[in-house]
Order: sequence, then structure tokens, then C-alpha cells
Amino acid sequence: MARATADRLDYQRAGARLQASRGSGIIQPDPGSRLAVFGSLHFVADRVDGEIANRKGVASGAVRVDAERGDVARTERIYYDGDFLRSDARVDAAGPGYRVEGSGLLARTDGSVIQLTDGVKGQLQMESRQ
Amino acid sequence: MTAAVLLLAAATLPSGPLEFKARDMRIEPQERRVVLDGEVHLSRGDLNVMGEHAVAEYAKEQQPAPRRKPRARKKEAAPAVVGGQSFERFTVIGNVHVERGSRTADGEHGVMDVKAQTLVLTGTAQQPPVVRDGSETLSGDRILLHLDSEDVDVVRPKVVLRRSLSEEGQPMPVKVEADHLLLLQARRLARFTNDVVVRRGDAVVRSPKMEARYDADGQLTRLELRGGVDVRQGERRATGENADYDAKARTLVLAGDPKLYDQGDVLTGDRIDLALDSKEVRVERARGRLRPEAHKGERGAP
Repeated sequence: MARATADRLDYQRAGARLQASRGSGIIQPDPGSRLAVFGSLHFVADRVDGEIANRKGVASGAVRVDAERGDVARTERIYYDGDFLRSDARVDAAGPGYRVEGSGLLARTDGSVIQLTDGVKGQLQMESRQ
Repeated sequence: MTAAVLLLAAATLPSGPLEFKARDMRIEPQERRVVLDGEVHLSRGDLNVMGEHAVAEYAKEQQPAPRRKPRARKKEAAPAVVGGQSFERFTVIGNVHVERGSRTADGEHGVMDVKAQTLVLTGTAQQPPVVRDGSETLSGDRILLHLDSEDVDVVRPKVVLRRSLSEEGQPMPVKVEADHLLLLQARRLARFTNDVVVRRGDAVVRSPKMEARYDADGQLTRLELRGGVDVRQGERRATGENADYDAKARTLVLAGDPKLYDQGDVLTGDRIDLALDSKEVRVERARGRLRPEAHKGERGAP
């Protein structure tokens, strides 16, 4: 299930194109899906351009994803193309026990692949000794 | 092995986050792990671990300790699941290289257990894991580095003690093999057990257990062999219950019903001193059987 809102939304029926400014959305993954472990996912971006018929789009400007389980990812630009999300801009992400900075992102929308790419660095929290 | 090599795990790994660098990072929440690929570099304090891939596994979620039930309450709520916020195990695969201080170690596979504070290195039959400190090398089937002490545990160790002798000219290394080696840095002690074999030049010494002792500079001072010792050098053979090797004097002293067998000669005594370089033998309170005819033709024989 997904819901979205925007400060402004322009929709062009020919080509099913949309442009949204200050858009935000929330996705509730299906129980049992690979994304479900993250809980609900909340997206915000300054601008969203999409071609609904072609399942293509790009979100840009302070793009941020917050997962219910505590993961946060930020980037300036992310592309949606069918089943994949890609970014060729710097991505900062953090979550349970990790913090990472990458030069790009590749993810499948079903959650089966979530990969920071092209050079990553960060920190992994080690379990404290007993 | 020198005490310096034992210092590979010289200090406790500081708590806190582990820094990493890699080409890619995959987040696999269902598998409860994070995978790093391509020129992986993990570091914490003075510990650096490099490899081709690494898998960081989340600590298992723990149930909180059960609280004492208040008598008045009818029904206790199910405890919330906590944990899973940190990593307990890091597995590094492919050309694993470990640095700590001035020491290094190499292997094909390394597993760092955060709770146990250990790093286990393994390799292949062709390329066993190795610990190095300058010219000193220690290899074995499996090397366990204790990160919270200065100890190293080695299965089937193969050690070359190059710095063990202050010999003039070309030093003659002492090679040691055994089933197991425990390096106790604080005591400057290396404890070899099960099928210990020591080779120095043409001398081969076998014993069930042996302790090697070092001085503060990491130089071998003494080998103590216990539980039945068998020494062979050329055609000479000596046995005893115990033997002590003095690295400075380069002599092996056999005690405990010591016996010397040399081309038909059989000598016993209170103790037998073997000088490994000159091959001279001294037997205290000697008794036995000598066959001078067996030594005709030897250099110095009449």
C-alpha cells in the first residue's frame, strides 16, 4: 500500500507525466515481503518527475527515506526505472548498527537488493563484550 | 617464535564502532547481515583487516532478563525483543591481511568474534595462514589471535626461529612443528604440545611437549622438552625423559635415564650433554658399552 502527498502536483494526461514539488509518500510493505523487515517507508523529496505509464521517474533535491525500523538514507537524486532505484550521487545512510557514505545506490523495489556502490566508507557498531 | 611475534595481539581491541571502507556495501536485513565487497578495509584502534569480501553479522536478538513478577498482577505482558543493533561477527574472505602494530598476518579466511575477542585465520593447504614479525614467521593450519590479551593459539604450527640464535656467521634456524602451539606473551612462553619435532641443522629432536622461553628482546633462551625425548643427529641417537636446550650455549642436556647410542656404543649416566655444533658429547657418571672398532677410520681415530 502506498500513499503520497505534495505541495503542488502537475499532471499531464498525455504520456501520464507528473511533476510534484515537495512531495512525500509512505509505503507499507506487504507482510512477508523482503521490505517488510524495514516496516513502513517514508519518502520525501523537493521534486519528483515521473512517467507513470513507463514506470520511470526521478526524485531530486534533499531526497530522504526513513524506515520504521530506524534506517535513514539521504541523497540529492534518485532514479526509478521499473524494478530498480538508482542513484549516481552521494548517498548517506544509517541504520541499526551501521552508518555509511556511498557514491551511488542500487536497489530493487522489492527489497531483494539494497546496495551502496562505487566506494563506500562508514562504521559498523560492534557488540559490546560480555 | 619470538616474543615480538606474540605481540601481534598486544592490546585489547577498543570498544566502539569498526571503521570500514570497500567498493560496495549490501544491506541484507533478512539475513541479518551486511556484506562488503571489493578492497575491504576494516579498522579499529591499531587493528587493520583487509580482504576481498567481508560479512558482518548482527548480534542475535536477546530477550531481556525476566523481571520478577509482581504478585498482584494477573497477566505478564510478553517481553519486548531488544538487541540487533550491533555486529558480533566479521568474516573476511580472500587475501586476508591483518596488521596490528608492526606485526602482520595473512590468510585466506578470517573470522573476528567480537564477544570472544578473537580473530581466527585459516588458509589453504598450499598457503597456510602466516604471522610475521620482520624476518620471523609462524604458520600453521589455523591461527587464533586473542584480541584481549597477547596470546596466540596455533593448530599444527610450523615455526622458524631465525632470531633464536646469536650465532656468528650464518645463523642456523631452529624449525619447530607440533600439533598445537599456545603463545603466552605475558610469560614469554611458547607451549608446543603433541608430536613436537625440532630441527636444527642435521639434529632432529622429538618430544610430546616442549616449552620455549624468551627474553625481553624476544630472543629464544631455552627449550624445555618433557615426557620422553628422542634426539637424532647423523648416526647418533640419544634418549631421555627430559631435555633442556640452552640457546646461548647451543647445548642439549638430556636427563631422566638418558641414553646415548652411537654406532654400537651405548652409554648412560646421570645426564648427557650434547653440543649440537661441535657434536661433542659429555656424559656424567657414565657407564655403558663402547666398541672402538666401530669408530675406526673416523677423523681423529687411531
